[in-house]
Amino acid sequence: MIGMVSRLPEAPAGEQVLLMQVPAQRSALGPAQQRLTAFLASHGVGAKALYASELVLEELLANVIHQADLTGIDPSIEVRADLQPQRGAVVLQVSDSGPAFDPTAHADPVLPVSIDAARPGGLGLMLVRRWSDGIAYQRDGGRNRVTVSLNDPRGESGPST
Amino acid sequence: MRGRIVELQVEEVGATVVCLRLVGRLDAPGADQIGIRFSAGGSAAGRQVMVDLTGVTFVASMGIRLLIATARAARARGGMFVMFGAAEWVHAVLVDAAIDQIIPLFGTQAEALKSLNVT
Repeated sequence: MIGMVSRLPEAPAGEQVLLMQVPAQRSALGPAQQRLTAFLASHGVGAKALYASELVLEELLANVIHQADLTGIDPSIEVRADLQPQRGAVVLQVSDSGPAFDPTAHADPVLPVSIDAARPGGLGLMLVRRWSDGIAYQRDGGRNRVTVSLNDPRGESGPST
Repeated sequence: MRGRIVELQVEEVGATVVCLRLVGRLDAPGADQIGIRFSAGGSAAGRQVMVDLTGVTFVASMGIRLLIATARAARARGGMFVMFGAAEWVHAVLVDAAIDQIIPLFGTQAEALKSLNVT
């Protein structure tokens, strides 16, 4: 089934963790975001962190799927979301078995000053950095692992700059 | 999937303006869904283009790419391209991507129309 997001074995009861496998297809982005949002919202995550989580997940998954389209390699994507209420944080991890790609090694694009100067590329990863509170990359056992931390200050007053 | 669909309505506003009204998510699936119609609606020769973002609940980089590409095409055909009504987080993403620096972004339709010299 196109776009089906399957759930990996459940974390032990009481832990606030979501695990899912995501097919390397653009059609899988929506179901994955919806699954994540439902999980986070059910645990009372605030509006800004919800938006940031969806945005980060979309951009990271879209990047992996784009790389898969270029290489023709099925990257076996896995997503993990950990709630850390004592820290007031959501931790997202996207891992894949595609070719090594470190998003933290890519500089932000030069933002355009005119519509004619606007160029595609790099915008997604820039948004991940702007909308997260920490990002780390690891190459482990033939898999890329990108871990993003998002603060969840309940009752936030607005987006960070 | 409620809330997971983007809808596009193309509306003539007077004789010289076309308004592209978006409702829903301007993410990668959304951009795929409406990209051709959005680009066509925004590329009519000589028309001023106004994009209504009041109904947009989410925007990501693929949606932004669609906005940029359509704005560029509109300008190339001699028309202006403006946007209005972005909600809080949508507005924040557009500002982070500096889109407000290259495509005029207004709070209301009235302000957008005024910028197009249409009352």
